[in-house]
Amino acid sequence: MTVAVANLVKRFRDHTALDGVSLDVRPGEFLALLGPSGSGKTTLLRIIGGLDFPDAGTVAFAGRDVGAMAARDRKVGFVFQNYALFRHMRVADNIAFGLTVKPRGQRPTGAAIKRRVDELLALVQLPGLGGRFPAQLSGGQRQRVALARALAVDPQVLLLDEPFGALDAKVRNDLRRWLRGVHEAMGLTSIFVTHDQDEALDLADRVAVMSDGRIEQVDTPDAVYNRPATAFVADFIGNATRFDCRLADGVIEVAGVRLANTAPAAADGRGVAFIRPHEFALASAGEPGLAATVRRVAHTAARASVECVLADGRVVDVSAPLDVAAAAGEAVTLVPTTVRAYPA
Amino acid sequence: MKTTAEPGWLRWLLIAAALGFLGINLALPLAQVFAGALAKGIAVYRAAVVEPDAVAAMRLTLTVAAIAVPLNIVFGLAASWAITKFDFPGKAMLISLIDLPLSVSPVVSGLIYVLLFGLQGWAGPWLREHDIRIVFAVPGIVLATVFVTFPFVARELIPLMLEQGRSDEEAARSLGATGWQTFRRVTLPNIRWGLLYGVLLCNARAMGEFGAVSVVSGHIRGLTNTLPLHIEILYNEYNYVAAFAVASLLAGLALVTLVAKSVLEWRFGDAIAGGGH
Amino acid sequence: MIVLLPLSAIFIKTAGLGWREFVAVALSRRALAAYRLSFGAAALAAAINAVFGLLVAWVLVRYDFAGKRVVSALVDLPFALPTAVAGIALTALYAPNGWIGSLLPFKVAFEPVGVVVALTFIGLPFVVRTVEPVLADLGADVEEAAASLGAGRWTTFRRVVLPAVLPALVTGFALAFARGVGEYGSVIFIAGNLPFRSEIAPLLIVQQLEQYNYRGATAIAATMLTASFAILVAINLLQAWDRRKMAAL
Repeated sequence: MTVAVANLVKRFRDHTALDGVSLDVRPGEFLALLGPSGSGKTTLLRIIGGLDFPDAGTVAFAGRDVGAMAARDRKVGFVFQNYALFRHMRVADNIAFGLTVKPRGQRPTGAAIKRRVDELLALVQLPGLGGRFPAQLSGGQRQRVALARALAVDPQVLLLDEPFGALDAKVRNDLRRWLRGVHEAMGLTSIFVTHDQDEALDLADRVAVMSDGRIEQVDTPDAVYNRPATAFVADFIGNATRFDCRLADGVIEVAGVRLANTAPAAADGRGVAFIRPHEFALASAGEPGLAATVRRVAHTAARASVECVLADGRVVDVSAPLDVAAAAGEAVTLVPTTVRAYPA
Repeated sequence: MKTTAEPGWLRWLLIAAALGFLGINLALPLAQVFAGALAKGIAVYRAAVVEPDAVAAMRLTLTVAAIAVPLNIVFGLAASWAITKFDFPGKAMLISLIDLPLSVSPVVSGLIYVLLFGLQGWAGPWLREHDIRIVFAVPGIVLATVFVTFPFVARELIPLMLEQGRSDEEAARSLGATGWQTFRRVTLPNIRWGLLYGVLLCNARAMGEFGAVSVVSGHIRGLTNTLPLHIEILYNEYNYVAAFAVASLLAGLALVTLVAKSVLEWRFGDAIAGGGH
Repeated sequence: MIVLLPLSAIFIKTAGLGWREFVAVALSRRALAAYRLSFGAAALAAAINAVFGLLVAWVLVRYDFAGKRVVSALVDLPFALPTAVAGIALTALYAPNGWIGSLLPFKVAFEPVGVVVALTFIGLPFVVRTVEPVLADLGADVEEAAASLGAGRWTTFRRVVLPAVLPALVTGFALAFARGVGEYGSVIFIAGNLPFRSEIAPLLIVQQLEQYNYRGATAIAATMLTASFAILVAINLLQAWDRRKMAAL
């Protein structure tokens, strides 16, 4: 099912949460809404789910306008940030809730509900835990119960608000892959909100990057990472360092080093350039480039991380091979190898 | 010993001081009620309790509570629902208004109803025409009691519901539940112990209210006398044993309330958090 | 609706009164003496409760001892016990031949000090129940931090604990005070109700009513309401100021 929003505006008191947002989600797509906190991503998700209503703009499911429809009629599955499990109900009753509140005529029989709950418990790999209360489950288990509860009513659209936010790193990684599998197996159209770029890039078919109530870019993870459309995206994704630069004929000059611009063409003049840790080469002091002093070298898993201090006092992380020869206190030159620049 | 603990002697001194204060200030008056009631033996006590005016007062007190408490459950639920689940201008004002009956003198509360519905009051002439008595009659007692006990349910529920947030209700709605289904199956179970707690306090105050009821009741023996007013009459007639005997009934109710309240606190402390009185 | 509408009645009725008549009733010497007693005794009782309420809250939060639960439940007795019952019990206790009164070298019942006794009984839970949660929330870690910085127990209490609970203590004081000013049932029995000496303001209202002087009753009520309201607003402002100070840190 397609999900299309157009020109959404939402204001809360004196602050604009959504400032003209349009987005088309394709059937079967797994889309991430990525942005810093306050960028409007959760508001957008809640409006799609019918939990908030926009001041202007439209929401359509499969081409049908659902803007005036209440949450209970939209038939979307919503997984809340802290799961919002009903703590006074057992797991099985939580999962069955959506079925038991259907109007009398459409409500499945008790036996059918029980069967469905058992199916879902198997799907979320919690067979036999139906009799527990939410408080007796681990974080990851609660997450899966919340998902089972949302899936019980056979939604075609699944909305997830920071689904992995409250989990520790190991559980988070396992659940990510598993969720992706469920999404594919059930043929859902899913949208999830996250502030974690690794999660968005790892999991989503496409990523919508949001800032200040606007969508900056909607693209595949590869494109968002390698071809940021705006300065905001280039800055937000990939731990880049920002430099002032000059643009002339598609050539960028940063600290005396001239390089071809890999970002979309920008007008000549002053600009801002972004360089990521692995986009520097280390050279001896005195070479053309950015003069810096090594402060610390950390050998992590596959690469060495070299912490350098620029002449202006800024700290830049440079990613280097494990056998890098730099030592703390040494003067070096940072030579940019790839640069993306945008008009200032 | 931990660095942040007081030396043993100081600890015991503080505990002793606190217990001594509570003993003199709270336990002794309570003991006095029962001692006064049984001063002339159990037979006199029983006679004072089953005396017709006392029975009538008891019946009236129970009736008033039976009307006022359910009304305030409804009002309290409605007010806290509106305050916690919706945003509207003036919300902060409304929250502080709810506590107002607690800081207004009960006598003033009673006076208000005399002004509104008394013979010389605003609605007085109209009421007289239709032969409806409110002040110096049971309806006035009920109204004054409702006013005075209004905050108890709401102020237990509001912090609790604020703390629980809206996400459970949103989850229920997104799963297709109607407003009523959401309230009955999600909201109500979440707040049930807090509600019971509020009802308990509301009931204790409803049965024990003196100042407001005293002003509107007219003190007609056997007709508009509640238990607390009956105590006053007996006491002013120097019938101390009877006064304490009737008082011991209300003190018994207070003890039951305290025990029930403590049990709720121990067993469901988390579910009635937000707390306060 | 339930709350505001009736209250406005008081002021509208008062406005119907001429200024001269208002002064004659609401600011008569007898009324002034009653206000002084009501507000003074309430302030004194609230102050006593602030001290002992803090002590009780501290003991309940920090120490374990046998019967703690019973004691904790007992603190709420004044909420649960009808005021008339409290009134006659306190009177009997403090009467010259009572359990306590017979031990004291001075008169308590039927004197102004009796009013303070009754209001101390009524107000205690307000202080304990507002201070208790704040004290419980105040983790041991800040006290340990103070101790690790070299502060003794008393210094820690004075410089760390007391400032942290002060806003709650002020709130508790205000609640006890407001309740005390308006309290009727528990006071009238023990006060003796002598004009100019041990007569409280709410009683004056009742007396005016019993003489069917509705205007007089309303005038006194309006004066009391205004004074209580002013005090509550002042305390609210004080707290808002205190919160801002905390937020700025």
